[in-house]
Amino acid sequence: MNYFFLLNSIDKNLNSKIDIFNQAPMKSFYKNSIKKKYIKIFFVKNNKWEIIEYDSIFPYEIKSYKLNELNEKYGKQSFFLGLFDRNQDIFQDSIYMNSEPTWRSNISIQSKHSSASYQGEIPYSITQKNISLVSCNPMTQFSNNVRSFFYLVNLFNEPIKSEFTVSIINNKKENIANLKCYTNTVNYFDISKYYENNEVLIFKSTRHGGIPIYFNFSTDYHSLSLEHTHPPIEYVYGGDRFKIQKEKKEFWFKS
Amino acid sequence: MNKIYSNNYAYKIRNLFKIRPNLYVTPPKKNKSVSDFFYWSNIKDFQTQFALMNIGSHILPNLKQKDNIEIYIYNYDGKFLKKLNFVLDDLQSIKINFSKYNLNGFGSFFVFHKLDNLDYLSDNNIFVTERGYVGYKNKYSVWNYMHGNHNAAYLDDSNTIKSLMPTSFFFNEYIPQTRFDDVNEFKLIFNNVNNFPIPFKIELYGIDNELIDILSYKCNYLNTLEIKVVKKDKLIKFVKIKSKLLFCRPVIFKYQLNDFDIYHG
Repeated sequence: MNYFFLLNSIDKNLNSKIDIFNQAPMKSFYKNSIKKKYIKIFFVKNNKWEIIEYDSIFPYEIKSYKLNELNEKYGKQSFFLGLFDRNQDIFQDSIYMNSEPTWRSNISIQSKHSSASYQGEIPYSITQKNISLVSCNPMTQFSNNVRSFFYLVNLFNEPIKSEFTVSIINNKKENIANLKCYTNTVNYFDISKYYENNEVLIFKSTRHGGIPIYFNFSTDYHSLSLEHTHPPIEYVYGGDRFKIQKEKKEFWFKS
Repeated sequence: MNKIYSNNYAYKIRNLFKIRPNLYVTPPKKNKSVSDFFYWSNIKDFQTQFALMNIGSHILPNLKQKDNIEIYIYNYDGKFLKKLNFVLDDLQSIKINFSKYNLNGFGSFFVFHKLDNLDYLSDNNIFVTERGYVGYKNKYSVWNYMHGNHNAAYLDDSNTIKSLMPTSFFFNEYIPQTRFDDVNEFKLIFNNVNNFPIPFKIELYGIDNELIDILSYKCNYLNTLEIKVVKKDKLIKFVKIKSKLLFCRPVIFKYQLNDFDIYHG
């Protein structure tokens, strides 16, 4: 089971979009059968899940949704989406999207001049527990003509917006800033000024985590860049990679 | 019995016949460095940059060791162009801009890390892998970043690059979970780390899921192919890639009104 999301808009010149494909990337590695599904959109409102059966999607169909359209209908929210059976609870696990490689969607931010995207998802497993965050971001660029934002997308199965802090540190372990984030939220922050004199910034939190995404754009909106960072286990291959992840996280949490 | 079933020879046979296939194989010896085969392009004002980090600091941060890095760069037809060497201190990061190394055209490159102390990784059958962040830009654009796509190859004891990308006797289908009917022009970028040609076909499907065209190509050893698809009226909805490479996931480059979007499929 995977979930998807729309990135919240930084300003009126930017909109976000998601493309969801009802098709696994590789038949050879997919054990289930593709069938009609229901696209549910959900968000937290007054400590309850607001769940909307928004659309249906047939096998091999691609559906796209834009943030501004959902904002018009439901107000400004952090929107999460998924493919479900009609009666399936949003946090009821399902093998439908169990796939290798991972079943993803195309998540993009657009201006009228350009678009930037990446293939992304939220795995079911991280919605079931408190996870921590260590995101080492070398995708830094500092210029008067570039603005840079950090997104942290957190989805947790309890319908509450619980506050937690993400600290930004440099590679000397000096604290640069603290960001106030919330669970079940598409958090975002302007981090442009923190890139000055820093080749790498580390974003960390012991209480909660999420999907860390970095967005850069030119101030004339002609050029956009969007990418997430790998979780620490992606720096190694084979064996028990979680041992490495644990050691790395402990190292950065000590500072 | 399990050991026999899961050794590299057995993996190869399994992959060839697509019996419980694996997306990648594992280097046969310990302490080997693994890398993606990254795409680069330096044509006119288009530039490529790689964010190079001391990978030891990110996997074994308490050891505080230097990272000896070798970057092997090839052009589009597999010709070896240049090897760049860097030594990074603990926690050091730098940006490598390809335009500073007199590199023109396009192709692919590997980034291999050599750490002095790999005992912990070796004891746990873990390999260092570089799947880091490449930036691309036009003259006036921001650096548009994309992370690595594959555990493509490793460097053996004689500094020969060996593939970790399995092939099979049969064609395998890969469908990028993305749509193409939001642009008129896009490129699919492929490369090949196997020391034999990989044939593949790209099926282009229209807005009613109808097959519009089939493109056939062959990618030779260490070659990079840029396949440009131009269809007016945004006719192509999705693509299927059929290849004897088990996991033939391309880099996708979409032309935008003023810039471009690049991501792995």
